[in-house]
Amino acid sequence: MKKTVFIIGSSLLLLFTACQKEMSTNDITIYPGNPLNDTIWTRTTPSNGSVNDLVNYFLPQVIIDSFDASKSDVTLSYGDSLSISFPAGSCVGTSANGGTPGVPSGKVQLQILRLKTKGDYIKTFRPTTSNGYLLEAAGGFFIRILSKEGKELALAPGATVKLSFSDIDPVKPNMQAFYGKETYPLPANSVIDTGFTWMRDTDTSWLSTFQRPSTISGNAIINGYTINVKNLRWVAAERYIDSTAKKAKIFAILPPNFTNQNTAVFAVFMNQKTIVNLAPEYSSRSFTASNIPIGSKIRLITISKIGDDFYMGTKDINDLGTTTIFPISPSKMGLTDILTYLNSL
Amino acid sequence: MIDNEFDNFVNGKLKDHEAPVPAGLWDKLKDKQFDDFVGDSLKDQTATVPDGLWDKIADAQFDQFLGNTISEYTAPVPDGLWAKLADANFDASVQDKIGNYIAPVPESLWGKVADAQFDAFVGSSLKDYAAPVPEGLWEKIHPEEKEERRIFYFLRIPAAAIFIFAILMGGTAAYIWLKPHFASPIPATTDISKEHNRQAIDSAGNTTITPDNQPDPASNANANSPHTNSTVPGKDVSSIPVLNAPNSIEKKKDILTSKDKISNAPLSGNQATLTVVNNSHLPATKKNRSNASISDRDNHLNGFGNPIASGDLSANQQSVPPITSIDSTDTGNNSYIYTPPYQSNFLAIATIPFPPFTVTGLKDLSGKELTDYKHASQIKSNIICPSNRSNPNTDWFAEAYASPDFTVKSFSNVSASQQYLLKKDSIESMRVGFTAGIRLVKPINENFLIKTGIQYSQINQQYLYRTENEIKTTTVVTVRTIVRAPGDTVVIADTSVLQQIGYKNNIVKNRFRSVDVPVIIGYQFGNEDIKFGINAGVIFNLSSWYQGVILDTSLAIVPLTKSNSMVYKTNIGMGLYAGFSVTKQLSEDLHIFFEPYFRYNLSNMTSNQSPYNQKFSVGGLSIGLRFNLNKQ
Repeated sequence: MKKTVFIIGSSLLLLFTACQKEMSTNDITIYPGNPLNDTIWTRTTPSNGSVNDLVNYFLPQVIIDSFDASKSDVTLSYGDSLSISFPAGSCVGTSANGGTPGVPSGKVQLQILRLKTKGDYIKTFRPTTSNGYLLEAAGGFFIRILSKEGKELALAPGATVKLSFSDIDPVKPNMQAFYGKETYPLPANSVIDTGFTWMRDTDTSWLSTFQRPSTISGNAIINGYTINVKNLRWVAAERYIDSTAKKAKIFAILPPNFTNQNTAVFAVFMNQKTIVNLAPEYSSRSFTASNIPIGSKIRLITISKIGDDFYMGTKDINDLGTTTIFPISPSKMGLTDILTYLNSL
Repeated sequence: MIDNEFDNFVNGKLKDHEAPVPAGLWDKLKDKQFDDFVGDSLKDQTATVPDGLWDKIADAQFDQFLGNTISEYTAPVPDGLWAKLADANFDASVQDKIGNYIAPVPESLWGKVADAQFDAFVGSSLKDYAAPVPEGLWEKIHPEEKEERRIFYFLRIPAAAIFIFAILMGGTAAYIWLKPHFASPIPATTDISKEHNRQAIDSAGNTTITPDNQPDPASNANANSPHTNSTVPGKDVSSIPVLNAPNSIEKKKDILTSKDKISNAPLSGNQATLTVVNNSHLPATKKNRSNASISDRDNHLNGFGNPIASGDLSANQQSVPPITSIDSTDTGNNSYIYTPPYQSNFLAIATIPFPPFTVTGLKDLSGKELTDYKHASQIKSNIICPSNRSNPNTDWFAEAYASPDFTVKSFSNVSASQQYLLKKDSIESMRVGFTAGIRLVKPINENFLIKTGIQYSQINQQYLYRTENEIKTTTVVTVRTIVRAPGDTVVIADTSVLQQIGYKNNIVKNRFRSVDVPVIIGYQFGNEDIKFGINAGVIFNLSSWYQGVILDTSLAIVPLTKSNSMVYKTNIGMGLYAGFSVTKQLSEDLHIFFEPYFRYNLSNMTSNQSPYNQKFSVGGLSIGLRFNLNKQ
């Protein structure tokens, strides 16, 4: 009997072992060096990080014009929402910029990049913060004047440029002039100036406002601000938010694929034009921002570029409270969709 | 005048004179007077027998003369006489005279003979007997075997012969190794044939046991028995003392031989216990007869039966003693004693209550049925009957089996590009498949059988191809230590998804399935426990279908289903089958078998639309069970 059982058992064993199992079909072999497979955080954002590529894709519309800076005063108007007046001889060349000191002859090129919406602040990676303190913006501009030689001009000492612009939001009475402080030397093109911050003008007086009928759209009333610009490049009408409110440090945590090399995170206040950049924190592999008022209604927006793919994630926080850590799961989106979304903010 | 002178004178005068004897003179002369007259003068005289004298003397006259004259005479056998008698002489004499003689068994004789006695008798008599098989006998017994061997003519086909030869070598080696197990019945066949023949004759009513190579004595039944015609005047051997002579079969033939010799030997009695039946029937010329062998029983029965029937020995009925045990001192005859193994403790001849050979006694045996069937029933357990090869096996068997299959692909190009062929070759590889089925087995005879049934086969083929930029998503738990404020540290375990990108080796198993009907002829040999078989046949495909993927002409992988298969046929036709099986008996009605086999498909499995031709050949090891459908 044992012999029979042994024979039958051996036969069945032979039969079943003949059914060799196939290896799994779910395994993949990852590409070494592929950005998606790079989940490594760096202490500082490298210049070749794909997050810097977003600058080139998100560049806002730029107003390019020209005028003769050596003769009489010039006022340039762009619709009924923006006008800029250059006194004669207000633009001079500087040796620091490689140009010839003095008023350049002939026409110069005017470049104006306007930060009109919250999305514009995000696309230019110019959060409304001043050394960590939150600002509420009315509008901002990047004004650059180039000589015919292509050298960037500066304002002559004591000269001011009158900049009048309308705001899409109701005019706030206590806006102040702020200038952007950039990292010196400037980062190479297409690299985010992570050290950028707004610095309030030494003249802390409130900006003058205006209210006039629209010259374009009938009976529409245009509300706006007038800034006597003393420095070219980044200038804005902003104000510090209420400093008496209790504040919190918020964290955004993302999946491992999203690191400081490929992702930027912003906190956008829903009821004011305040945009905060959540800086990457290496130790916690998270993005964080401080001085967020408790009770704020904010939206966390992540924008990532991994390889050739764009990702965006959002997280709405209606009432910031004790919960300050927010996981966000970005998803792949097309560039156009991302821009549309940002423009709608 | 001296007698001599007188004799010469008378001889000269009366030599030619004949004087008539007066009537009644001889009657008046008494034998005693004649004997006294002759005295010893003629004792040593030898006179030639006149020509024709012997012919004038009838056997009956001689027998009567001897019967009247020496019936009461007892003469001792001279010392050394028996020793001088060679069996051959005796056999030749008996064969010549009574070889064809058949004596009927007296009524009730067989009934008085117990089976055990008969067995002992036959055993002791024929223990060492061997009869040569007549030429051509075996050929007449196994005519079918010749027919079967003709089937192997296909071995003349070189390819098949090589394959079968290789298998046969292994099988033959195993057969030789196992030969002691099943070779033993072969010599038994010869013995039993002899036994069988003898029994057949017995059962026919003949009272003789005739060797197989002897002519049927019935054809020369005692019409002219030499016993009645041979007379030897002056030989009175009616009472011959013989030591144990009639007690054994061997001695009986000695008796007859000695009687023959006695005819010219001086008779002196010193062993007178046997009054032998009429021996005077032996002719004087029997010494020169051939030495043809004759069975012992012939000697026995013919040596006693016929003279008794003649009624000449009524006065000697009591002189024939019963057959008694062979004297233990008679070592010269011990070699003839055979004790059957099933009666090892049986004193064979000692207990045979053989009656005196009298007319009355023998008549008592008449009408008794010869119980040879009883005899056969006792010894059949010791006989391994030869296989009856002319009787085909009518059993039916069913087989259920399964096999792992190993497939070999045959491929030839028709119109495919070189790039296509290279990629196809790189991404395809054969995998282990299987076959399972059931078969009905019909033995044609002891060695040949035919199988047919239905089976399902699945050939597996692995398609391994690479796809790029495959995203692998893995759910991970990321643990972070977050310092919200000095002294406010929290550990966050975040469950999220990790995506990785890479290439994937896609493995798709193509399945080529088919349903077939095998028709196989097998030749098996071996013993009851293990049989080896050579199987060959054809496999008819009923239907084939395929599932998996296939490489199209643009080198893309496209799915292949049963409904859209334009590349493969739905019937691949016929295939050839060859296998070698080893069958092990598990029980009376259950066998397990292992059968390595090879299947070669004759036609391509691809259709005419395919840019290439492809077919599969399959090798496997069938493992299955064979059930006897004739199970009682």
